[in-house]
Amino acid sequence: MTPNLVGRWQTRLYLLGVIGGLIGLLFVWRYNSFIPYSNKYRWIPEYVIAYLIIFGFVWDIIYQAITHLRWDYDWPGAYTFIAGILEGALVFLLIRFVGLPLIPKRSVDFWHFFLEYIVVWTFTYFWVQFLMRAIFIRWRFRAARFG
Amino acid sequence: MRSIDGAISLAWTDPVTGEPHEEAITLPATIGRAVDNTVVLTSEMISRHHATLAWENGQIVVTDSSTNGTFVNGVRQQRAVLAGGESVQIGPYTLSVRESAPSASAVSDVTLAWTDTATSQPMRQTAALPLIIGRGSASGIVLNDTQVSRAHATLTAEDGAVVVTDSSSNGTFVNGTRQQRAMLHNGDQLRIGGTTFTVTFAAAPVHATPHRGHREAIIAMDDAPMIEHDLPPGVAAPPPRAAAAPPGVVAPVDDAGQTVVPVRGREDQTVLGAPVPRPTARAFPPPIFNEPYVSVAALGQTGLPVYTTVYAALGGGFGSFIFTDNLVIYGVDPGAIISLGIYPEPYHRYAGLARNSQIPLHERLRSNSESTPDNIWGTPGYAVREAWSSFTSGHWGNAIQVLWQVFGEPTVAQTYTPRAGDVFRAMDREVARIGWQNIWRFGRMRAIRKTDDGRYAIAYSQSDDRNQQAHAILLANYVHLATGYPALQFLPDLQEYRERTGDFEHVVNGYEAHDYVYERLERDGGVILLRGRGIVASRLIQRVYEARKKNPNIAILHLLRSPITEGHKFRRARRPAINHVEIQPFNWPKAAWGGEQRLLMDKADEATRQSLLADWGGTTTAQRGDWVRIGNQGIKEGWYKIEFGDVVRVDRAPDGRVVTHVTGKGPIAGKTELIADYIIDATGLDAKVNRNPLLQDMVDHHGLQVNKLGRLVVTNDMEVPGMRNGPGRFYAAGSMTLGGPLAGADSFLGLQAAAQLSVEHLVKEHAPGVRRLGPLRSLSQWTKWVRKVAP
Repeated sequence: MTPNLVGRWQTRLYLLGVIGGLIGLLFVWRYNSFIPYSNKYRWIPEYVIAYLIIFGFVWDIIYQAITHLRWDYDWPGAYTFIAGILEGALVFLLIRFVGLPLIPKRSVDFWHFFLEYIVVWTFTYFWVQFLMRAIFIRWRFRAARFG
Repeated sequence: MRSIDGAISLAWTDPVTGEPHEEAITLPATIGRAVDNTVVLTSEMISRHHATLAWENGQIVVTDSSTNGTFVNGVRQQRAVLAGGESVQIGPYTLSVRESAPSASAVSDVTLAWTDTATSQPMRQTAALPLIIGRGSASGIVLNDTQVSRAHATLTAEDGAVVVTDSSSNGTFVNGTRQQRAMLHNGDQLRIGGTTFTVTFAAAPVHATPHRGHREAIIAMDDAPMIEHDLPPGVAAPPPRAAAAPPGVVAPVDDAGQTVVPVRGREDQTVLGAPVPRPTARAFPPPIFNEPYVSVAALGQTGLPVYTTVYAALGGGFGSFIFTDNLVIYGVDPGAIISLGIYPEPYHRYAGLARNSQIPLHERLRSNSESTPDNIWGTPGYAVREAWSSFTSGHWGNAIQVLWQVFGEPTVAQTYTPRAGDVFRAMDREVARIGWQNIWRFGRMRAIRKTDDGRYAIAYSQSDDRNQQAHAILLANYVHLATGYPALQFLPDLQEYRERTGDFEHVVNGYEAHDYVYERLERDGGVILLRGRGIVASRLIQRVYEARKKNPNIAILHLLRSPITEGHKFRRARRPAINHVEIQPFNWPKAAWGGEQRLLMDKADEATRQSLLADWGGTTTAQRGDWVRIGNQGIKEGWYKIEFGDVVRVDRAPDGRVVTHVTGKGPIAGKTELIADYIIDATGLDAKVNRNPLLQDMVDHHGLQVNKLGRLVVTNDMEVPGMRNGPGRFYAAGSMTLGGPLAGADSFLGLQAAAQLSVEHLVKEHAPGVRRLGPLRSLSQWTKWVRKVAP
C-alpha cells in the first residue's frame, strides 16, 4: 500500500466505520445473550470501534511520518500488523486503567476485547488487502483515497 | 598542467532515461538548478547555485556553495582540486570531469548509404572527412547524374559535428529541405540530384559541442513501425531500414517479424469505397496524407480498403491489451474495437526481450504482485495465485514463502516478483476471456492523421509480404497509441565500434539474442566485459554464475564509470546501495505509481517533473538476496571484478578479442586496456519520439509537443493534446509518455494506471459504450473475471 494521510483517514473510516461497524453489531447482539452485561454496556463493542477510529486518526499522522522515511513511501503489510497490535493495546489499556467516555474503567475484560478486536482486525485486513481493489477500482492509484 | 583557456568536458548519465550525456564547457562555469547556470541540473537536492568550476594556477578547482553538498569521489568537499578523471557527485548526478581532446579529431569519417539510381543496388561507403560529393573525378563519392555539379557538396568535421556545405547549382537537401550549410545528425537524409544518402558517423569520443548532448547510438528493433519518407517522384526510396537505422548495424532483436500473419476477416466492419485487390497507387501512405487533415471522401477514391472502428488500440502489445481490457470491462462492445499490431499475443515482444536478457519462463520478472496486466483490479495478485497453485499441488513450503513475501515486503522479506511464465499464461486466459483474437489484426502502421470529420486515419500494411501491397486505412473515432520501445540503446563507444568493425558478434546489447555467448563460454571459458549497472546487468551476472557451474574458467569484468557509495536521497528518504549498485524493488519508488509521489507528479509542471524524476530515477537493480550473494561470492572468488574508468575507445585485437582502452580510476588508474572475449551493453532500451518514424512523422505533421526527455507531452488523463480533433480523442501510454504524470510509464502497473486514466476520461467525455465503473459494477465485473465469464 502506498497511502497518503488523507488516504489513510478515508480508508480507516471506511474499514472500521462500515466493515468494523457491521461486525460490531454482531457483538452487540451476541455478547448480550451470554454475557451478563447490563443494558448500559450493550453498545460498548461499537464504542470500542469509534475509539479505534478516533485514536487511529492520530496514529495515522505518526505512520505517515514513518512512511516519509522510507524510500518507496510505502507501507508494508507487516507494518499494518504491528500497527494493529499497538492500536488495540492502546485502547484496551486506556479502558482498563483510565476509562473512556461511554466506556467506564474496567468495564470490558481482556478476552471479550481480544475476541472482538481480532475478528474486526482480521476481517478488515483481508478486506483491504484483497477485496478493496475489486470494489473501488481507482483506490489503489489514488494514494488510498476514494473517488 | 594545461592551457588556461582549454575547455573541459562534463559527462554524466541521465538519471531519468539512463542515457549518457556529455557537455563541453569553458571555465569558469557554474552548476545548479537555476536557469542562469552554465550547466543546469534539476533535482530537489540541488541548490539554485550549487557549485563553481574554475581554473586556478592551471588546475581545475570545484567550489561548493550548496545546502546538500558537493562530493568528490564520495567525499564531501567545500573546495577541491580536480586532476581529471574524478567523479563529482551533485544531488542525483555523478559527473565525470575531463580535459577535452582537440575537437578536430572528434569525428574523422562518415558512412553514407544509398541506392544506386542506375542499378537499384544498395550502396554503402565509409569515407574520411573532408569529403566531396559530386560528378567530378576529385570527388570522394562520384555520382553520374546530370543534376549533380562537379563538386556538389562538401562534408567537413567542425567542432565535433559533421557539416555539409552546398556549392551546387541544383541544391543540396537535408531531410527534404534545401540547405546552403547545415549540421548533420546521425541518420539524416542528404539528397543530391537523384540520390538520397543516409548519413551516419561515429559518436564523438571525447569532445561534444555544448548543449548538443551525445549522439544517440541506435539500432532499430525488428518490429519497430516503419514509414517511408516523403520523397519527390522519381527518387528511389531508401532501403527499408535506412530511415531508422544506420546501415550495416541492423540487428534484429527477434526473428518473429518475418512471420506473415493472415489478416482475419471481420464481418462487422464496413468497407468504404471499392476494395481493389492490388492497388495501383505506388505511394503509400497516399498523397492525401500530406494534407493538414485527411479528407474521408478522398480516402474512398484511393482504391485502398478503408475499415472503420469506434476505438483503435494501436501497437498490439501490453499497452493496447490493457487499454482494451479496461474498455471492454467498462462496457464497450468488443466489436467496436480494433487493435493493430505485429504479433497475435500481446506479450510476444516483451517475452522475446525477456528471453534475450536471460529471463527464461521460470525466472522472475521485476514486477509487483499486484501489477497484473491480465486483471484491471490487481486482485488477486500473482503472489496469492502462486500460493494457491503451490498449495493445491502440495508445494506448501513455496506457498508459505510467497505469502510471507507479500506480507513483509520490502522490509522484513524480499519483495515478491512473479515468474515470467505465470504472467504470460495468465494473459492467455484473459486474451481468451475478452475475445482478443477478434479484436487484434496484423498491421504495420505507416502514418496516423486527423481526418476532416473529427476522426483519425491510420495507414497500415496488412501484410509483411512486399509483393502483396496489402495496404489499408483504418478510420477510428478514438485512438490509443502504445507502440513500446522502438530501439535498443547503445553506449556511444560500443555503437562506434560496431559501425567501424561490423562486429556484432562480440559486442552485443543485453536485449539482443546472445545465447551463443554463454554456450561458447561454457565450452571454452573466457571473459565478459559488462557495461551498465541495471537489472539486465544483475541478471547476466546470475547467468554467468550458472554458466560457471559448467566451466569455472569464466569471469566478468564489470566496468562502471564511477563508484556509488550511497544512494539517491529524496527529502528524508534514502535509497540503499550494494556493490556500487543502487537497490530498489522496482524501477521507481513504489509510491510513484499510486501513492504520494504520483500525486506530486500530477500537480507538478514539466520542469518540476524533470526534477522529481531525476531524484527518483537512476539505474537501479532489484532487491534480491541471491544477486547480492552471487556478487559477494564472485568478488571473493575473483571471477567477478568491478572496475571504474572512462572508455576512450574499443578495438578488435588480432586474436579476435575485444580491447577496451580505458582511463581508469582507483585500482586501475591511468591508461589501461581491458581485454575481453565479449562485451555486453546492459544500458537498456531507447524510447525517444525521434527513434520511432511513425511517432516522428505524427509529431512533425500535427505539430505535437515533445518534452525535454524527447517523449510525447500528455495530459494527466494521458491524452495527447495536439491530437484532439473535434469529438475525436487520442491517448498514449508506455515509454513514449515518460515525463507525463506516470513515472513508471513503461511498467505493467504504469500501463494499467494509464489505461484507467484514459478510460475514465472517456467516461467523462461520454464516449460510446463506456460507463462509470462504480463499486457494484466493479465487483460484479470482478466476479466475472474470477469465474472466467466474458465481460
